[in-house]
Order: sequence, then C-alpha cells, then structure tokens
Amino acid sequence: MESYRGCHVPPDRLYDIEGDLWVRFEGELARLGMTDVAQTRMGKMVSIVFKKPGRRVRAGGSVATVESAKWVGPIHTPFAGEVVEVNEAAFARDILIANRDPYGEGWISVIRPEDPTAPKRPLLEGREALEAYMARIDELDVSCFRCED
Amino acid sequence: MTHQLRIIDFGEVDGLRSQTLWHALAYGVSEGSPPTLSFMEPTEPYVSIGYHRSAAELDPEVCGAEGLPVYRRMVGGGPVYIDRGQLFFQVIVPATTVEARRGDAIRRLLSPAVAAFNDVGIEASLDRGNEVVLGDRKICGHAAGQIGNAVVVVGNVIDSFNHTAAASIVKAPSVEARREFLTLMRRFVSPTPTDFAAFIAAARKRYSAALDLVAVDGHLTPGEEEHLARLDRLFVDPVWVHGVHRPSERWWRAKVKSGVWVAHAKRNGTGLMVALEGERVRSLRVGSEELTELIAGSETVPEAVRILGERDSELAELLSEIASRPPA
Repeated sequence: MESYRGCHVPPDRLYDIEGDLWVRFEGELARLGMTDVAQTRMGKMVSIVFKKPGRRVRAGGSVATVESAKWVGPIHTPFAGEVVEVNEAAFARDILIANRDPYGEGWISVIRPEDPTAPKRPLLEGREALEAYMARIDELDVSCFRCED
Repeated sequence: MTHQLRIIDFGEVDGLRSQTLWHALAYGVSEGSPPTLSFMEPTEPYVSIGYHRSAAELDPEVCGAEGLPVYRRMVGGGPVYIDRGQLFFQVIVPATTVEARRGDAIRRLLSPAVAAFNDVGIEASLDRGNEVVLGDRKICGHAAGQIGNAVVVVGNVIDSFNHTAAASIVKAPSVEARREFLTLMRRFVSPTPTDFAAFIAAARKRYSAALDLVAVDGHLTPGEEEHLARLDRLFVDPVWVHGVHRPSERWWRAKVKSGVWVAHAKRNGTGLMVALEGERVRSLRVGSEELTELIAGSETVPEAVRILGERDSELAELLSEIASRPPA
C-alpha cells in the first residue's frame, strides 16, 4: 500500500487530487469514493444523502452531501453522467464506513460517464498520483487516521 | 490591491429572509464576491432544520398551533427554534482559504466571534466540541457547510431565549422525555443579553484582523439578488422543507449541546429514557419503578450498565449502545 503521513493512496485507481476523490473504472462505469485525505479532513461522518440512481449529474456537480461536526459539504463527480448505483445500504448499516474503509466498503456512487475521457480535472494514477498527493498532503498539513486507529 | 471583508448588516428581517439572505451571499462568494461577514435579526419565530435532518423530528401539532414556518438550511445541525431577540452572524469565505480539517476550520472561523463576545464583556470561550460557551453553558448556536465553493459558518447572539418553546418544537416520545429535554436546555443553554450594535462592531474588528482583510460596508450584488429570489421560492417549497426520505433513527435523541443529550428507546417492549452529560448520567428511567429504583443513584454510564446488567442484560446493552453514540 502506497502511503504518506498515514494517508493511503492505493495504486489500483485514478485520483482527482484537488477533489480528494478516487475513481475506478469498471467497464463503461466509474466507481467513486472519498480518499483517505477526504475522510480525515471530514472527521466522523454523521449523515449522507445520495443523488439517486437515474439522476444526471454535471461534471463537478454533487453526487452526495455528507455531514460531520455540523458541517455539510458536497462530494463532487469529475464526470458528467448518470448515477447508476449508490452505496446507501452500507452507510445505513454503518455511517462510519467511509471513515473506516474509504477505498473498499465505503465507496460512494457508481456513475456512467457521458465522456470518460473528459473529466473536469485531470485524473492521475500510479506514481504521478502519489507524488501529487504527497505535495497536497504537505500543503494541507494533514496526517491521516481511520476510525479503527 | 487591498483584500476586502465585505460587511453587510441587514438589520431586522422576516424569518424567511433571515435564512435566504446569507445563503444568497454564500452563492455570491462562491462565484467571486469578496469574503463576507453579515448580520441580521429575525422579527418572528420559526423553526430551522439542518440540511440532513428529517422534518418528522418536529412536533407538527406544536409547529402548526403556533403557526411556525419551517425552513431547511443548507448547513448542518439539528432542529432549532428561532425568535426575536437573536442576532445572527455569518462569516463566508472561499473554500480554498480555510483549514483542511473541517473541525479546525470551524474553530478558526468561530474564534473571532468568541473574541467579540469577550470585547462586549461576555467571558465566552470555545470548548473542545467547538461550542461557544460561558462556563459550561452554550450561549451561541452554530452550524457550517460548503455551499458551492464557499464555506459558511453561522452563529447567533442570544439576547433572550424561550426554553419552553425551543423544547416544544421537537417531537418527543413521552412527557418525561420532553420534560428532561427542557430541564437540560434550561441548565445548559443561556442567553447573554448584549448590545447587538456593540457586538457587531467588535465582530467587524475581530474578523477583519483574524482574516487579515479590510472591513468595507457592502451590499448584495445583482447576482446575489437573483439567488435571493430563487432561494425565497425554494425555502417555502414543501418538497425542499420535507427533503428526501431519510431512514428512521434507531432511537429518539435530542441534543442540548455538545456532549449533553436525552435519548429514549425501547427493547422488548420496555422503555428506557436517559439524560447524559458525557459519561455522567443525569437522569435514567427504565421500565418499571422497581428497575428505575434499582439504578437510581448511578452516576456514570458504566455503573448504570453494570447494575442494570444484573437484572436485564439486553437493556444494559441498549444503554451502553446509546451512550456510545452521542448525536452530532
């Protein structure tokens, strides 16, 4: 596992670094989730509302809103497209699922991008993603931790 | 170029505008308006619910009988009763300018307000839960959120507060639970009578210094006026007020301040009502008088769980679970 200052950056997916979002393509679909940095910045989640399957979202639009510490904020999608699946059941069972497992069980939504080659911001992968994230982690001055830590 | 902190004091406004004005400003800052500090005083009572909360948490009979409008805000927190005698302030800045961690950002954006309280003679402080307190009493409600590319933190100065009305708007599962909620609210929520003009002057100075911006009086831009008109319509739309379907909570909870709350739940037909202050049990009723007597005097959750567990392990487990999940 690639990590920096406790923040994991798995190499098996793409990253919207500025959006603190990961993307994993599954055929013509894209699964989205918060990165370790995102869940650390947010703190313990207390609520989430998803944009429902079937809804169209614009690039940079919100696929969900999350609340922690009386703070409500959006999770943005890098692509315009249609929401096809949301992880509502997992969050209903355990609202801290993204705090515990942001890259696995705590994924957020699956969308069908209208043009997967045209994300709102460049998606980085591999070493390039890790290095960009290392710079961002230093800039933000965060160190990551999970709920089970 | 000098960077400005736009100051807008809207004065007295109706209930709807006391919500929609600052949301319009947030959209404006998101689209390039300068960082903004705004103030307003609602002229009528209403209920505000947090973005993620269910309108089903409210007592429809009380809200209906009192003719209280309900407005859903785009920031967090629970249902609150708002009335005359409260000055609301909002600090709105670009999202890129705040701390990475939300808790840190809220703390930094509330700290100048705490300093302003101090300037007007109220020895307020910010506790570990980011509550603005005087001693152990909450004196300022707050909430936060990101609207577009702007971060907004809202708070209030409470000149007078109707605890009974504030406790009555929340749908309670029993008379005892409502009474306990009111008791805790009276104990832990205090108004701090203040000259609003003096607070505004102090906040203007403190926020300007903390954000390193020059305070300049301003007004809504044409774009913000358009957002305001849209928000005025949105906030009275029943679809917006009732929101999306939200799964029911596993048990009833009502928060008074960070770490202080009342909960009510049932297991196997037996009711349990507990009022907690952190790990401290302020009040606990379980099923029969006999059980309640048995645990009377338990001062901490572990002690109550242990004693209750000797008679009913499932209720003890429920109490432990409730205590481990304080409301946000």
